[in-house]
Amino acid sequence: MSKMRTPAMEKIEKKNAKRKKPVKSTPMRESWKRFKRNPTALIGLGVVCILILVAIFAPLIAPYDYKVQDYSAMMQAPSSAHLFGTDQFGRDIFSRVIYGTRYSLIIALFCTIAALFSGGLLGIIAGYFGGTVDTIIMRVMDIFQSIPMIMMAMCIVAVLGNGIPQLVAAIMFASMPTMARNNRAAILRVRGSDYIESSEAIGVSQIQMILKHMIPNAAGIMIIYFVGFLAVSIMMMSSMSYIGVGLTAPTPEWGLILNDGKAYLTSAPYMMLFPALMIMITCFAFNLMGDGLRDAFDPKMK
Amino acid sequence: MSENMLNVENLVIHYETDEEVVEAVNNISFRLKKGEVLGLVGETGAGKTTTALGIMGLLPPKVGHVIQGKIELDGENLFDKSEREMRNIRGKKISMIFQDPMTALNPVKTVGEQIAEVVLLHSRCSKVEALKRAQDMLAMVGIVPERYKDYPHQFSGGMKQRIVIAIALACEPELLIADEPTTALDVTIQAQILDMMRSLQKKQGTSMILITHDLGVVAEMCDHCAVMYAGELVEYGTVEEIFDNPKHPYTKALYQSIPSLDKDVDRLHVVPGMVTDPSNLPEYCSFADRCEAKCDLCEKADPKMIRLNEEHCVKCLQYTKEWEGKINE
Amino acid sequence: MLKYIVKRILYLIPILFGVSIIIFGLKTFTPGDPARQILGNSASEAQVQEKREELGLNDPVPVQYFNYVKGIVTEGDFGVSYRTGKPVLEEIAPRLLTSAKITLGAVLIGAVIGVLLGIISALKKYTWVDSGVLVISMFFQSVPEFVVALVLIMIFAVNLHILPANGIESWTGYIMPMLCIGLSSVASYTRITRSSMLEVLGEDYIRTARAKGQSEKNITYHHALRNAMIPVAQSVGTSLGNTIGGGMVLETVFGVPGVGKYIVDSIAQRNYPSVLGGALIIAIVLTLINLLVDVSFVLIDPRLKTTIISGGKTKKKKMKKINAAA
Repeated sequence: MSKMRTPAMEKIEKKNAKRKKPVKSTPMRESWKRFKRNPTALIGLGVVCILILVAIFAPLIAPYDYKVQDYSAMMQAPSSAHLFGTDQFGRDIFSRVIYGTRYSLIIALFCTIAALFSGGLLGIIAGYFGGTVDTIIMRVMDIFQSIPMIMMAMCIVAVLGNGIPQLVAAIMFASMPTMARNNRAAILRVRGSDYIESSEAIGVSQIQMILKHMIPNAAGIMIIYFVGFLAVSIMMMSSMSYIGVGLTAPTPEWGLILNDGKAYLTSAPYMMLFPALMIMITCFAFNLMGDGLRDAFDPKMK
Repeated sequence: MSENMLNVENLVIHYETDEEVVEAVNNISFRLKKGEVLGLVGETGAGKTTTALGIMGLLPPKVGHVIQGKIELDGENLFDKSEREMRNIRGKKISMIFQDPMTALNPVKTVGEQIAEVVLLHSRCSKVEALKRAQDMLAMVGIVPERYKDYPHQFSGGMKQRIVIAIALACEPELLIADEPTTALDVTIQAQILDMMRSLQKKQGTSMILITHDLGVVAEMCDHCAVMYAGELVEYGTVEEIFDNPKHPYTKALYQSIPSLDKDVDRLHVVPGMVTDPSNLPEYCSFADRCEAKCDLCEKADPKMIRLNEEHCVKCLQYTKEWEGKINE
Repeated sequence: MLKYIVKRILYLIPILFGVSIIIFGLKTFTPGDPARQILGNSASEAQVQEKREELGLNDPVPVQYFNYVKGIVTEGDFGVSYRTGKPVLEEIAPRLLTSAKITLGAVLIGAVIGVLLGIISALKKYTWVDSGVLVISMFFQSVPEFVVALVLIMIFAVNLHILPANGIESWTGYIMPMLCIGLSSVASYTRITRSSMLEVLGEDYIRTARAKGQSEKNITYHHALRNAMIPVAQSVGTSLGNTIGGGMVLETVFGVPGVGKYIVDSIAQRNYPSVLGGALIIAIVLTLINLLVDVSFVLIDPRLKTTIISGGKTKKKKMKKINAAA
């Protein structure tokens, strides 16, 4: 009802009439609703889902074994037999790129979990207990942070040697300060809010407070970091292996495939084109999705 | 000097978003004579600030829409003006003082620059002259002129509001709109600021619209008083009429909710119910749902503004013939 | 002001000590015998022992650390390259200049493009221009710099032959590395500028400026921009680490003889003193630049000047407030 009808009102009423019954809104549902309205985020989510499927069904999709060398078919340009062509050892680049999805995603996942867990734990401890604990942890993180992330990771790999576990450890250590800082900020934001103060006032125990209030409320923010860091670790990993630090052949990691093709940039650019495209698409998709998540969980941050 | 300087007629302002339409201002009309002070009273969300922004032409773009009505300043309809012409009016002919002085000043510019800015915009003078004028204005609002080189954060809240007033009055505007100028200040400072505004307004002969929810301020400062509820003017008259002889049930309720030292009461009077939702106004009288004097008629018709005498109008069915007929039955 | 700078420099000391401990720790845990590495496989066991003694490798670890730090502080001795036998600092010094040029260029490119795009997208908020700008700038942020570099090489060096793919013999060699690193930081500048512009444009003092009759253009450039630049300027400091990190990879891709390539090459050669010395030097430079950035803030934001002069402690809180507002 209204005092004065305007066209704008009719439009809204028409829209409301179309809408189904209102559902009970929870913060999660609200976030999902906002996420759904964001087309770029949905594209990101779609691409990420496809990539996950490709990683799971890599053996079914890839026509060749990624490490079998076929000297009868070296350096072939893309054709129906070899969709993305073959490299200098006659390996099928399409199969290598498909298996590369598996390697890249799994390593990135490990890196992210390790980083989120270690850095997150430090951040939560610092943020929750505050005071001296906070000061000590954050000062140590300050020290770590004054070395650029990728340089730190490279130095650690240089010491530990090449290999997947070493790479995961390197990326974990290198990203710990950023992770700790972010998680601490998330916890502090929740901690500073009125409902925590009021539950403190009615005598809720510390453990309960962390489990029931802080983690659920900081969860949204942590999901954002999780997805965002997946992209960061893929970027770091591929950058490092491209310049020859971290992983070794014949692991079909995208950065390594690019490294293999480096020498043939002029004569066989297709060798680099497809893995490069894959890295671009994957990182972009994760970032689009992460960005959408940020807007959805934390509309104020935009 | 009885000419109407400002003439607002049948003004309707809506805020339109994708979700809802908020009827912020509904068909209000009022006039303001030169040198007069009008108090605009009402609860938060009654549409007082929207009315002021409408006059300034500063409604939020894309969302705020003037649906109908006109606002005439010196006989010229402001809605016919281009943006460029409006810019020449703002700050020169109409100035506005905002509610919160703490945030109303640009933190990275000196207060002198900020006062000089408005002078430079509206009068042909050099930067030096503008700064001189800024210092004069500072002196006028009771701040040492030498402080023109200081930044806003170096002043207290009351001082900042003085600076905001200095900016507003720097070009000697014909109309000053003060939107709750003292709400954010300490009680002791409030009186000082109001006194100063009153004397400056008298001195410059400026007309003023004073937006407030404090009836005490209205009694002290204003010549006329307009009571707003849910975007409508429900009562309008001279301050004496409204204070001595309030007619509208909402105005009466407002008076009763002021604590009084004379009468010994246990509890303050509370206006029952919640403020009417401006995105879902009834077709009948907006106040009917909270009104203590309502009858069935009130939920059927939306009353018109009724002129009780020269100095007093009210928008309530109680004062119509229909009501009398109903009572006599 | 001076007191504040001195205080900040004193604060650097524990950080640099921490960094040196981390780096020295890495050095200690590094597998392999440095003496053997320097002398090669043909050297006799006695020669290796002699070299170990000479390098001080037979001392207890704390003593080694003390000597290491003492060497750095008193003689600027960051260790000796296994490969060339020259002091690390001597090798790095000329490369530092090259890297600095590229980093500076990249920061300029990134900040200028980013701030411009951020302003545009804030002024055109919620239109297709806004979303287009954000998506494109995010693309460059999310794609690793070396991939962008490869694409640029394919276009400008391999196909068009207008820019060199390798080296910095002439100024044209700098273009692609700077562009690649710069583009990757555009997104973060765009985003910060946009949100900080939107925040500032919604402030009451902007409404005050409108009420004065000021034009939108002047409001944007005279009132909003300076306030909105505060968080942007701060992010230059924090993103510098990423810029330098990106530079390391790109120097390798483009064959630019900078510190980054030096470190990467040294990793491949297992030349640890060079790796760790380089890392330590970069960390020092980075911390010093961050200090400079923080000090230069005071010049932009008059609010900080008074708080710093009246007592350094409140500064952090103020900055937090500003950050939160961004």
